Amino acid sequence: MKRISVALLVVLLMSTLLTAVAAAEELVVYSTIFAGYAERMVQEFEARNPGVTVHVINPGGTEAMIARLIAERDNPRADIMHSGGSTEYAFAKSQGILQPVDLGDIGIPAEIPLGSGMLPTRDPENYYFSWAVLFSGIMVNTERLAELNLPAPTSYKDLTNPIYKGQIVSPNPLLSSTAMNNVLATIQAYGPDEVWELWDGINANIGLYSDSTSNTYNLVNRGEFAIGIVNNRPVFEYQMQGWPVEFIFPRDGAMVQDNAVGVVNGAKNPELAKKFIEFLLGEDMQRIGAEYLYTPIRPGVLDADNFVALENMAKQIDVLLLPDPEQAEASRGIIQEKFEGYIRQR
Amino acid sequence: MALEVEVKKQVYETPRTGFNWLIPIYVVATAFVVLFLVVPLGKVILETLGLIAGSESLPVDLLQYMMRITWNSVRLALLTTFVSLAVAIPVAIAVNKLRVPLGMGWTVLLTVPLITPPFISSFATILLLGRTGILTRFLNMLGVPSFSIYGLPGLVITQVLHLMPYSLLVIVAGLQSVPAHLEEAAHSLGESFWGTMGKVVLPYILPHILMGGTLVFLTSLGDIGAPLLVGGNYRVLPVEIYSNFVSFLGDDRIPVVFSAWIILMACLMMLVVNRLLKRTELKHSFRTRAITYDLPGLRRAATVFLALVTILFLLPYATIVVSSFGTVWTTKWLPNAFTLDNYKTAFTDSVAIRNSLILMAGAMPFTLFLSITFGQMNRDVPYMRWFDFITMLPFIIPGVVIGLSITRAWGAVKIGGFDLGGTVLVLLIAISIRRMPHAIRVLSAGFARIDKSLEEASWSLGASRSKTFKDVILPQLKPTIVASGVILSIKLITELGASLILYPPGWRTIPIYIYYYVSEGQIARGSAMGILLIVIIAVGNGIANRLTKDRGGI
Repeated sequence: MKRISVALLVVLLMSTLLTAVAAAEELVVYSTIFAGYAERMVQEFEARNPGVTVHVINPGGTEAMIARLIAERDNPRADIMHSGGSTEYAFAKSQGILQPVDLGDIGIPAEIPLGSGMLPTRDPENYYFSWAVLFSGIMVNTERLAELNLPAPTSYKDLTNPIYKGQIVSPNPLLSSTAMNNVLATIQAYGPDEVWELWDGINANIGLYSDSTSNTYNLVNRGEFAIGIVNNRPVFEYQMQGWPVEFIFPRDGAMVQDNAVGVVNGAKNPELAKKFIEFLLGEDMQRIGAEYLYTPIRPGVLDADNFVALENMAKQIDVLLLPDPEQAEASRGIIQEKFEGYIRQR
Repeated sequence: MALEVEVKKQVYETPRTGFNWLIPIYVVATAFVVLFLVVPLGKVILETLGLIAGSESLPVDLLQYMMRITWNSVRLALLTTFVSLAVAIPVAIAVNKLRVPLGMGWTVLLTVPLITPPFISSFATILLLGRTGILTRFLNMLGVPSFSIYGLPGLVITQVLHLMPYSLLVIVAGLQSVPAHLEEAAHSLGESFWGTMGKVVLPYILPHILMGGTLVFLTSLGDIGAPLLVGGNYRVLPVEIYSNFVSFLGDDRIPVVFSAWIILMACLMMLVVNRLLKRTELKHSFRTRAITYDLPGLRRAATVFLALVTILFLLPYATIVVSSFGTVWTTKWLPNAFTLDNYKTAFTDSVAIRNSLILMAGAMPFTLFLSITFGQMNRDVPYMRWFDFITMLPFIIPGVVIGLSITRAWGAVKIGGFDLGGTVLVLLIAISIRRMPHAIRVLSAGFARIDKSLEEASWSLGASRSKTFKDVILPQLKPTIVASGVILSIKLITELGASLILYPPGWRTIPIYIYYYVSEGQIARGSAMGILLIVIIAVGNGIANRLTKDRGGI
């Protein structure tokens, strides 16, 4: 009797495990975006495309997502790669895990004016597209600063002040693109040589290089460290949740970055994938994204004085830095060498 | 002299009856591990070796750096192991031998730390002992100067709080297998309680102590969660492997070089442990009635000791409970406000609970079967002993690496139109492979305790190997199988690294949810889900205990 029930249980279990869900149309999106936004994105897309089921899979960080896509290269399971910045997408493109998609004219120019330059909104060969804009800079816990009787820093330069000794946390630039972009910002602001004098000073104050970018935010939220070197959007999110944190655009330079999206090479549903990207860049979803504090890339979606609007962000920035892929590539070696030194000497 | 040689020969005498029906089972189990562990990892290693051959030379100071973080890893693992054993041995004796109130209830309470997903337990350390932690504030008020937990101290604290229960479970299982007549003999010859413990009981369960220690040591050596959150600038091998493997900014060659090194180290350690295990092989007739002592004074002292240890070990989880009912918790004593929302959200994600339970139920019998098979094969087939080292690899290789290597090797293979990588089967296989070493290690202590003379008696009476295994060996293993089942179920349901990288649409598990919450700053929500996980496992183990009890002893 017992054997029979065990056998039955096993059969039942195996059949649950092996049943493929037979939906009419499925779109698999790999994305590391915040869960609240991801849920809304799925809802909105499914509402506009009856019969379609969207699965969002988050492999735990943009790097892990790319690693998974590379591992699945011979038999892709995802249609869309979503979230992460152009730097990561350029790498993904070089690995052959993206395919180009021709969107035609969707009302977003290939470049939009920003600061004193032009910000590209897509890959010239259409392998990936920006859908939101963010900035690198400094996060502070105001309660903790007050407790320690410290002024809030206003620039990267301020972070070299010995009063902040041990109070700064940064992700490891050798592993985190968030930290890497902050370093690239300082290189553009101070030049490839003088910048290391600046970092010698900041490094002396850094209490912790975190191997986990997300944990950097947690540690500042919690007040374990008063200051973090990060990106703006998550800080706004935590502020909204009630944490005593603020984002500071460094006076000596804030680097613009993006959240991008692309179609996975060999996607099972290329047509649906294209539709999804059009939807993401469309006016509706761009406006909804702003509710979740994602600065729209599409011009004219928000009023210029809206807190999230690109115009409003740009207004608060003294020196707006645009990504310079050539300089970034040229600096890679020295960044590797310098930070390996900083981190291994600890 | 001549006589002794004769006796030795007899030990290795084989049964006379025909074909060993265990062999096909060995072959299947071995093939499974070769297919889903050896081939995938081998592929990654070969690919990278090609890369290393074609690239510029490795950084000059890499070797020096590797030695330094190796020492970091080993020092951390040793400290964690010694502190864990120093706590686990007295606790096990108090619970088993002194008729303390609550009895095994203490063991159950102290296994709670095993259940928590590593991210949550590390965060609990920060909440308690971080710069703005509650205990830190309290200690500061008492005039204790500030200290930093980011580094070795925080890691040892977090790991001991998290890993001590492994050794406790194994040692408790060992104590239950001490033959009563040995203790009775010692006692009637006038040995005191401590004398009996020190001269008879502890030497008898040395294999279990060694195995418990090894389990803690290896888990500490392979741990990623704690070093990622509280390790700070104290760098250890697995984090270096993980970070460089996953990040494209990292150096692809480091994971392979470091993995090879860590495997070599672990193999050396296992050689030493196996040697020690062999030296402790005692042969006693088989009788497992546990004996207890009626010593009121010692009992009171033991109860106080148990209470203190339990409070200490459950403090982090009390913090998690508080956090799970709170909103924002920053530099104050308590969260800004209290709410039930975190639990409401945790319950709306009930599909994660279902998934975790199905995966555990699916992987557990299979993994236990594999582990018992390998344990027996290790005794039965001398020329396959080296395979023991292979099965141990997942202990120290990060889950992400295992998951990705399986995808790389098998993701594109279709067997008769069946797309393995597209179903949850691949996830089941991966977590089974990843958690198998835990069960194997626990079981090996039980195998070391098996009475060879009974086995030989069975053979000489004409029983086949398979019959002897079923009727003589398995019954002796039973307490250890239960212990390894408990550890295995917990390890399976808390698996994160491989799950994250492999889960197909619709198969998010509880640890994956917790990981997302924590990485999005929703510590409170992650805590609520963590508490839910603890409750589920506690209830599950309660039911399992009932069931095994109903079946009666051996």
